[in-house]
Amino acid sequence: MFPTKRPLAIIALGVAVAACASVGIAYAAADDPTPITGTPVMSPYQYSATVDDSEKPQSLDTAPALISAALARKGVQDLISATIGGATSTDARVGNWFYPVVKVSDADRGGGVLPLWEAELVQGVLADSLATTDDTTSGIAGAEVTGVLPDGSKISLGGGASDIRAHQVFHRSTTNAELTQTQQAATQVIQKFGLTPLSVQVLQPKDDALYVVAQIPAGTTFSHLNDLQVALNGDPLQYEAIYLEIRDSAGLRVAVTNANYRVGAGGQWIDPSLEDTIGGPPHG
Amino acid sequence: MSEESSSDHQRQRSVLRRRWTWKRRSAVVGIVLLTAMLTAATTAWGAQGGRYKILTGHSLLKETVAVRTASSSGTGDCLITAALVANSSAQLETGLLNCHNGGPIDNSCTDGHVFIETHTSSTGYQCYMHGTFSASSYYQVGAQSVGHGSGSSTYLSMNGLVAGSYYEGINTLLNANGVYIRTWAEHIVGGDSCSGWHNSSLFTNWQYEDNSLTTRTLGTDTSVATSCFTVGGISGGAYNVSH
Repeated sequence: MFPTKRPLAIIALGVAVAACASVGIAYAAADDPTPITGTPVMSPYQYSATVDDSEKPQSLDTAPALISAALARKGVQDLISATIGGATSTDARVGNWFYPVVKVSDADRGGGVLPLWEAELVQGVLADSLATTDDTTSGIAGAEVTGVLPDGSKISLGGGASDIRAHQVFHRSTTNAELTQTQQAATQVIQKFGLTPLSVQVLQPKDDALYVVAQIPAGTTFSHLNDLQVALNGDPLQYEAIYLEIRDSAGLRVAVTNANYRVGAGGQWIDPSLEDTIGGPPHG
Repeated sequence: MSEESSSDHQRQRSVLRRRWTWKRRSAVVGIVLLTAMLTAATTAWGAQGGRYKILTGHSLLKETVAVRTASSSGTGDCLITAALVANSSAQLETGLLNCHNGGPIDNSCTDGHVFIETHTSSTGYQCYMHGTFSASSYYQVGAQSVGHGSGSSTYLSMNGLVAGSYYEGINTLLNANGVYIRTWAEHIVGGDSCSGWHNSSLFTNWQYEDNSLTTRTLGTDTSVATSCFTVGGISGGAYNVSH
């Protein structure tokens, strides 16, 4: 994890180095100044160990019911509404685009990650259910997530859609006892990493999705964020999505990681002062 | 271009022109702030090498570059070859991800994929994949300003561009003063070590279009930023990065 990934630091890096290397290094230019560029192959990526293609694609008419079910689902708290439409520009990928609106209680310090993750839970179900090919983007081709702040103003939370294998199969707790067992297993992992579990929930957009908030006990440090997430999700991946939030001993959010393996989306926000020490996942 | 897309483009340009007046007024302030930020920032960085340009006084409409990963290695590592747009509050990166038993990055983007990664203070880094690439080919990546909506609700976003189509984006990369455009290779796993891995990335046809609506090839007006990498001199929008 490099501090230069922060936009400000990147800019600084460029100028600082340029000051020392303004003449550059003599080196041959690229071998072909006008190459023919290729088109990436859109082969859907599969995160899960198995898939189940027995499920028939649902029609677009079922989308409102799927969205309503998601809105009513326990555990999804920030989704206000959602619609499906076309892309906003003709240059974008053709297909159904997902336009959710979510509540954002605080926009900074990674406060947009949870609402984005919740929106993508619903998107994942829609993409999987509506997919007409083995690629989920045939169900949902793109997304734009709008956040509503407490004062009513709106912000963009981004959103998107990777080319992901439809009908992946993840772990699904089918009884209350299994749900409890899944929660307990996650709780034990968190404790093994020296953290205090504040909230461990198993959501079920389709299969299990894990929501975890954990706290760093006073007087201790934490430096295994990526290791914790990997341990929680297992190999192969157990859950179709995971949200992991770490708070310091005072209750301040200091790190968040998220992933949704039906959408092919994932990310992280880390307090800049901890970016080099908390052991977060690699990023670009 | 279709009538609809032409209309979108004209609306986008119109919005940019309307914004231009206040942008000119604030240009000096922006440059001063940017300079102060650069001076204050840390000097520590990992293994990365490329070229960059800071646009001042103009809004960025588009950045494109053809990129190719000629070779790379390093067990447990990931290497990227990418184009980047950033300002003081957001970042958008589009490129090729080459991992060697490393990754994924951002819990989602895996080896051999074209990726788009956004960064804001609200959502941190978020990564999406858009197809696989071959090491023997160039791919056009970059960023594009996209107009949305209609009437009073018109707004712009900066979206990742892959082979002529745009995908994920963010709408806080619109300010003219101090937009930073960059192409680079980066060794993103494995700490700050400069040994035990190698990489060779090629960049060509590196261009941008700003709100003067002129497409410019990036050349000797760009600067080098590097650590561990050797960055080649640029000619006609083309250069190499290697380690």
